[in-house]
Amino acid sequence: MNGANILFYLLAAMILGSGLLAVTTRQLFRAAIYLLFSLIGMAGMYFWLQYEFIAAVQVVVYVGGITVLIIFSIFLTQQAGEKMLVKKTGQQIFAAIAAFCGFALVMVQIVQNNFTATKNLSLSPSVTNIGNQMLGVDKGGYALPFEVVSILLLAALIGSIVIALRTPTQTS
Amino acid sequence: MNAIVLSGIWGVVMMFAGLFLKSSKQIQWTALLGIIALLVVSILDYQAHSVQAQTYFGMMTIDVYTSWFSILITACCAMYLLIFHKDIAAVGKNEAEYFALIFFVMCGVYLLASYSNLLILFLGIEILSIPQYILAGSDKENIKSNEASLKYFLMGAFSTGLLLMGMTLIYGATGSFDITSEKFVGQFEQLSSMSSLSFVGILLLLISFGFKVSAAPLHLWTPDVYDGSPTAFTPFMATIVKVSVFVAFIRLFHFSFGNVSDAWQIAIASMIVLTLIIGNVTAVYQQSLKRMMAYSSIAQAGFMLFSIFAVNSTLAYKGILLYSVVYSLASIGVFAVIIKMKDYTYDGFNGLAKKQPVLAFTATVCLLSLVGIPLTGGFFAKYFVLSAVVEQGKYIWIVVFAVLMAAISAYYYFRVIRSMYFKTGEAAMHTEPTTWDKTLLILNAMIILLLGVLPSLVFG
Amino acid sequence: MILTAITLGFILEKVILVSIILGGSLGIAMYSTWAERKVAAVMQDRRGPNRAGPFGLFQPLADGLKLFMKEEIIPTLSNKFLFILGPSLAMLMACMTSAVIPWGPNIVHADGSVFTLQVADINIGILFIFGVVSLGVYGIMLGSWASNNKYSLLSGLRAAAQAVSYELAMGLSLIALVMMSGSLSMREIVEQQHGFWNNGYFTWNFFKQPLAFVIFIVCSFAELNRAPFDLSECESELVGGYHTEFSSMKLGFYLFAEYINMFITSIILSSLFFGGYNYPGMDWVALHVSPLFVSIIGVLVLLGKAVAFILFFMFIRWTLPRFRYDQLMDLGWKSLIPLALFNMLVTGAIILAFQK
Repeated sequence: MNGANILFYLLAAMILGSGLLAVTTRQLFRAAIYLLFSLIGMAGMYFWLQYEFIAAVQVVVYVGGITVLIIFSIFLTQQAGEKMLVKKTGQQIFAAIAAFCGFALVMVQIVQNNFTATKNLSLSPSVTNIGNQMLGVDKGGYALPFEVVSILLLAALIGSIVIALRTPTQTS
Repeated sequence: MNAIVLSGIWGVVMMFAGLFLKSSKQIQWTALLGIIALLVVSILDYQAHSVQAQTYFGMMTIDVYTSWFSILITACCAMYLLIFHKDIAAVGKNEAEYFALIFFVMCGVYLLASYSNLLILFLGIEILSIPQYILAGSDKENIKSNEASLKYFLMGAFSTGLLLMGMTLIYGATGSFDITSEKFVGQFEQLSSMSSLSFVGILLLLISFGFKVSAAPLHLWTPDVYDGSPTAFTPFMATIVKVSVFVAFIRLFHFSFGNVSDAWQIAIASMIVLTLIIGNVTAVYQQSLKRMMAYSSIAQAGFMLFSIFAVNSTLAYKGILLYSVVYSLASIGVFAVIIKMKDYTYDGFNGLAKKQPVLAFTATVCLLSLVGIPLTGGFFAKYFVLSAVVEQGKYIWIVVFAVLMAAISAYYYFRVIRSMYFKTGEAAMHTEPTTWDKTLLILNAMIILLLGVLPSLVFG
Repeated sequence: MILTAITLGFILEKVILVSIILGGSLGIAMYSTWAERKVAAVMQDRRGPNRAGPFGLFQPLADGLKLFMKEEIIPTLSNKFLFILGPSLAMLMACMTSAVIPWGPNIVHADGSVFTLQVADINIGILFIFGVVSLGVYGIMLGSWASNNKYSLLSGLRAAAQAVSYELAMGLSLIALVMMSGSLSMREIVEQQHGFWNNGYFTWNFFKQPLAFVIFIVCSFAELNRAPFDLSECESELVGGYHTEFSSMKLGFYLFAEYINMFITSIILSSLFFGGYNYPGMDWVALHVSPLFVSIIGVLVLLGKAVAFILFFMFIRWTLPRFRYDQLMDLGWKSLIPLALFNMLVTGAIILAFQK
């Protein structure tokens, strides 16, 4: 086992361990913090794969953006420090069985499948290549989805403003 | 392609209209202008693509079928906006934004009709869904509307997760998102060579689509969302959005997974059976007409699933086109009457025929069409999707079962007609229909009747 | 994968470099506290610290000693794990940014081997800085929430909202810079600003992107939580802000992290906009002195620029009054972000025009 392998297992342990803690902890705030560590682990995994750009984006977007917003909204909720209620045993058992079945279904398939490595790596993960691919208009370029995403985000933005905007009757 | 661009742009235009136009009427006219322009553009698109299919960026393929469907769905949306524009503006203060969101949904509709890449499929479904979460919750002071929005959002997010997981697994098996690429087509050539990874992927996609079209057992969100949302938006969600998801559904499952239909047909079959039973039987016990229509939309989805069940049959394509139009128009017609009423229960409709004969008549035509009575468009719609299955020669018992369920559906649809015509009552109105409303409703009913005689009009 | 090329010598080299950088930044941060007091004193016509040592130069040491000796108090109702994690994270994040900064020109040995004055030349240096800066807010948020104190919580909310809002404008302003330089690597951006004057153009990015610089420096104030944007610790409203409940060295960590951040931000500002270790006439100097001295002069130039920025930060703090919270948000969302977008647009148009 060389250094790279050790690093991989460490990162994997970090991702899985904190992920597991995030779903099992009964304190909302802690769950968010564990999620944070899991996401940092993911970024580390991308670094390990030498996809530096994606790693940095993972940090900026997920760790620095989304998780901050999650914690922000936890700040605004009441009793964020209280322990959450324990579900009934029946529900717990059923949820565990369902989760296990879903996991087993997907896992068995992934393990059984023979993934063939591509011979011609079409894209080296440099920022220039990512940029060209992202805004490319030839076949295989992602200009169209890129623009479509902007419409999606605009719609979401308008929507959130509609939801958040105070209506005059509420101010009184 | 132009329709996609225009719908996106018009969403932005509506946004600015809210900023610069002061009167609500001007905003409504801008929206109507937009949908008419969209209709014109989609007709022009159709003419451009009627000769041969064209692929854009390797992401979308627009062919005759696609562009024809775009025209039909735009026409339905135009009908919806023409009838409901005043009610949409009355929902809340942000009327321009509601129209903007509707135009963004239309953009998603066109994407879903023409995608040839799983990425676009995902984005299309998201553009379709996110504005709907907002529209469902737009009546902010009504707690039921809030509930509808939250419920829809949470469930929708979950189903999107399944959709993504399914796509990931299929990508893992094929190595491509492009459904026209060799790798993708090769993977789904025959059942024996298909990897088990794609099998699970198809299953997950099926579940996700089933959720979006509210097929049982994934329908649980539907009644609460359709019931809780403002009545002006429910017909939009129940018709145009649902129908376009069906088109995306059929596009993927027939064109890409058609050769391996043995893998998923049985799942669809069980979905159909459950959907028909749950939709129809539960609808019988509803007291509110709005909630009954929610269950009826589940039941109608069961019939539309037949077109997906009958793989690669021309009858199925014709069936889904006709069903889309007829079901959309009929539901819009019924909702147009519901929204005028004060009381949504059956008793609230008592004596409507005496008070508002036009409304009662158009509602009757629409309801008859939903049952599938001959001489209305609904008859041929059901006839085509069911005969597509008969033509296949397998699973004939499902067709028999469906006809039985259609008979049950007659009960609750006729109950409305009975209330309107044969019971005496006040039938209190929320808003009085104007002549313009009545003209449109009659036009709507006329189209349904016309399609009952000449269904080939929608086949292009 | 990445560990295959690592030798013992390489590790040793990096360890030495990291220790020097960390030690250096801690030292500079330490004396920033002293400088801050002196600047404040000058501004307010006082003498400032003058008891401990000549000119009060030992004051930071005395302060550190005092903080270490203080009683460590952890509130009973606080969340202990997060309470301790908060200041630790603040300190960690403050130190991490220094990894991608090119501190000076490469030292080329006589035998041809190169010693880079940069811990890691990753090709996404700017994004890395962003990542770490966006993590910086966690220290405050965790600490403030874990204190179980309403003032702290409010301060944490403010800090989070402020950080998220100003990060956007900061990123957008840098995009214009990146568009021009065509690289995300810190070293390459600094190398492009070689010298001061070249072919009739200024080489420093400040002269090419003045608007981006203004936006960036305003956002830096906000990201550093320094006056006039120190809403999260404004004592007139929130007692001590997020560190109300902290004592002893945990408080020290928070205070110290701010000064380290200020130092690192100054370094980043000088690297991105003011040429980093480049200075006018550097080519002439390179011809006349030994390579080692060239590097040392480069490092000193960079530090000099950084000190100038630190002083600038301090002058601002002691001259401008604090913003109100809604003014802060208005400035961020309604002025800086549109300006940054506009700057991006203009930059793109100019680049296109010059390409044709």
